Amino acid sequence: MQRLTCTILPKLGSISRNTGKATSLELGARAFCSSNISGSGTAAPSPDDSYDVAIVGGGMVGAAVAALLGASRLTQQLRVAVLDVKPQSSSYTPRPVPDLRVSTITPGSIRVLQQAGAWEAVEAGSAPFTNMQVWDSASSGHIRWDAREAGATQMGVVAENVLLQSALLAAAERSGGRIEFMWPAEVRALRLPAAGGAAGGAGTGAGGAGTGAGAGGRPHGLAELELADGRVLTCRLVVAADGAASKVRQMAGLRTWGWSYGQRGVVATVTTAEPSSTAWQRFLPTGPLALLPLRDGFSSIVWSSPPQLAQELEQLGPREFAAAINKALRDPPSSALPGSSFSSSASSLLGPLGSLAASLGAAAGGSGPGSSAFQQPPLVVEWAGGRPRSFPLQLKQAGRFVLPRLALVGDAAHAVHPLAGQGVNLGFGDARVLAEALRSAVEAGSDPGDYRMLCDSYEAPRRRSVLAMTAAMDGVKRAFEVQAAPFAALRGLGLGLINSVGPVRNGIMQYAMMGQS
Amino acid sequence: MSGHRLGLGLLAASWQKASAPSSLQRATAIALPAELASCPSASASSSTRCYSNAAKLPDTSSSQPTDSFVSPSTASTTSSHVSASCGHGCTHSTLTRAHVLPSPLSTNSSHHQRHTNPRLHLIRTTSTSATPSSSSSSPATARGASVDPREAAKFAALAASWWCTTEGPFAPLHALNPARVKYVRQSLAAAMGLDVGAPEPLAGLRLLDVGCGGGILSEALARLGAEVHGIDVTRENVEAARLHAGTDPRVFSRVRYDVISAEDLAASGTAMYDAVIASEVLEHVSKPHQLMPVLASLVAEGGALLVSTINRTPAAWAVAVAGAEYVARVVPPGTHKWSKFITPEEMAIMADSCGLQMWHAAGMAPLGPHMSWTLTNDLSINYIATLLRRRSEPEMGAEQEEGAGAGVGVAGMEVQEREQEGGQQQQEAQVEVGEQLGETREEEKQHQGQEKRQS
Repeated sequence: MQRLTCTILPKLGSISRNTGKATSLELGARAFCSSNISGSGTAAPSPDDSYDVAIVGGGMVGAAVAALLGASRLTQQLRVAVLDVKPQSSSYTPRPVPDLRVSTITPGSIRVLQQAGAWEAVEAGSAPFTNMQVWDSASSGHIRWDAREAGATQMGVVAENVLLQSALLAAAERSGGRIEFMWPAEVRALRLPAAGGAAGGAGTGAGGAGTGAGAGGRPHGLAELELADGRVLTCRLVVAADGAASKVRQMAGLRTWGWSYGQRGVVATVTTAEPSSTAWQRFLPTGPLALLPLRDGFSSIVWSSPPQLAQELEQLGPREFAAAINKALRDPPSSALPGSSFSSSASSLLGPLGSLAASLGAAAGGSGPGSSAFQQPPLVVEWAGGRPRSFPLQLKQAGRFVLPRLALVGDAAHAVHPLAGQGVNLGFGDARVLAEALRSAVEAGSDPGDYRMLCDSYEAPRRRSVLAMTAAMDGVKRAFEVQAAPFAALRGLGLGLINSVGPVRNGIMQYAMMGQS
Repeated sequence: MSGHRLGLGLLAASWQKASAPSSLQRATAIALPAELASCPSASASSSTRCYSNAAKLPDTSSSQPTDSFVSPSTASTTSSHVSASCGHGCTHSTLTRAHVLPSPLSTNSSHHQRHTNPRLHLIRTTSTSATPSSSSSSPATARGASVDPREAAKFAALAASWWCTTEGPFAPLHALNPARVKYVRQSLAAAMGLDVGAPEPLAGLRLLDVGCGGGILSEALARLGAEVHGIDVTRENVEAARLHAGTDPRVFSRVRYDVISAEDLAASGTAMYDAVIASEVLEHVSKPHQLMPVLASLVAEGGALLVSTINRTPAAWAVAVAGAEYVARVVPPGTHKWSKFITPEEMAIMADSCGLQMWHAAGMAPLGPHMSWTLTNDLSINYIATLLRRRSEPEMGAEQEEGAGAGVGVAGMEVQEREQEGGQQQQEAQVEVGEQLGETREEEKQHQGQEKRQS
């Protein structure tokens, strides 16, 4: 009977790229009703099913939000529900071979984990890396970063996703907050109030107004989640943390923009001939190939490759797979003669600029114990544990990150290319900013689902960070895709230049490590 | 844009008196039922007010509303059938006056003229109300036979307008709210020894929000745990506030709103609150020094009076009047009158005359365009102050505020009490102003004595 409408008020002009439906830039009201409107929220919410924050999705980012809310005194009294379609475990037993899905955790995210109280558990089961080397396959340029040059002990750690998730869930459980875990619980319908918040009371007029003891009989302006088992949860804020294919985001009517990269990411756990504490990434013609150190001497392979190649790789046996990896990592650059130095190839191609680069390169190469000099990655022996698997790579960003009483976090808001391992770090950044916004709201007596607060304190800063990071990563990816010789040489030159200029090199590292707030 | 500073006095609109009642009012006024027509209170010069909470009514003939902010129009709840005695021996159910104020969105700033037709004085609210149309356009679903759907729709539209936090005429108030709530939280916690870091530090306190408007401040205070009583003289505002409060059960259980003036509430003699908050009210009242004692009388022993208003400085004129009303046009021209702004010194003097002392003060300013406000040290435009009952010896540290701001030097002054015979003329008062809250900066402890002669 009652039509709930949601108004879109774009704060920063959102980029709309799909099929020219650029309505996100238009002001005005649109109807965003969930697929099943079974009536308005007229029933007084029963106290049992009434929550302050409902987090849909118990993955890494959803658990991070819950843990952060429980960690702060101001938000501890908020009643939080964490829902997931499948039961999630908060206890982690390390398997003999690390899991396939791993993430690179930057120091910025480590701070978030520390704040949430989950860092100790993660540190115990993860592998730190102190160096990172990025190089090209079409040219002989490279950049090598060292955490020590930034005064840090490590550039980050690599941890299995299940470890991160269980550590955060355990932290949420034992925090002082009122957090309830509900699984399995599937969300069937989502009902959000309109932007004004008072529209829900449009029809009440004086119905039981002044004398009513509670809000019974008049529609409430809260959000409602209808579960598959028939329960209806009312909450002040819905946090959608259910991944790139978020159903909550769909139900809210938010559209996404982005593109498929036409590639699949092949992941595998491998053993290497010698241990390393460096994260290696080589940009191949087909896509970047990363070799990341894991616990117990294992390493992880993430290879972005075309579907054809991905399929072939998945079929390979342990040794053949390793051979393919080694070939990809160790083949000499295609545009330079074997054994030729960087300086000679650059100077031959670009004359005076090249000689400048050559001299810089010589200076850099001669400094120190070769901290920025090129090193060969370790030899990969074979894959272990499970056979390699692949998943499609895409960029998918939501046009809006917030609606009245709804916030998207993690991949539900922005799914990015696994290049540079920034994906979950962006999600942890979301969790941190959202928890801080809720802290501030509680301090100022605001509604946790207040639209203005969500727009100003969560969406605006996150949009800036996410777009900047996405643009940078996408730019890097596209820059490395070009294989034509002159461009490749230029690229190699660029890499070399960056590598040789310490402050620039370290500046990039700082950005990648700390992320943006 | 700096124009955003202004708008807070949007609350102002609720105090603005319209010109003659609109034709709509006269047209929809209905004949009185016999019982009302015979009520001796139905006289041209009296202002009858009946309350839903059946408080004792003041003697209407003597309690002419001051030209402060009282509008002669009050009304009780819409469908409540509580009958109240109007003090004249007759019983009315819900009543209102014919000249209910127009919606706060009106741009008229001239003074309201009392509707003098006695027959149109008392009209049942429950049937039709003489209210001017506002922005309502959608018919609402009415509940109950006694509710006018147009009324309900109007209130719903007004509530939606009040609570549109991102755009619209009340958005600046929403931007301001976090700053003033944080100030209230910290100040009351310091004054009453509460735990400022607790999620609901104001639990157990009874607060009065004078000029509550749509309930923006009241709801926030309710979420901090307090029991809030919001009063406003404009019925539409109170209805809008009630509507919105009903959308959140937890808030609804902690707030109640009434259409009543502060004078009437104080006159009832039964109202005492742990803290009285008059936010963005004083600068719209023509005789704030008469309102202040009324507010002070509503404060219980050990309680506090918190007032937020705009300073009378060149900067305030530039930002809140010129900038907001003419450049950015976020509020209608005429909403604020620079001559009615109140400096912190004047506030301290007024406070002193009712036995209060200014304890803390802080400025409020937006961090940037479209951003929420924050507390600052600069009192030169918007500021909020805490007034406590003056003790025999000032215990508060004598600290000077920093941040002079544009031409306002609120230096530390001493309080000296003088007799108040003959009104407030010839009174020398010096106010000791403490440090401001919200910014943790080290402040120099300079003590300057200044004497000010109150004009």
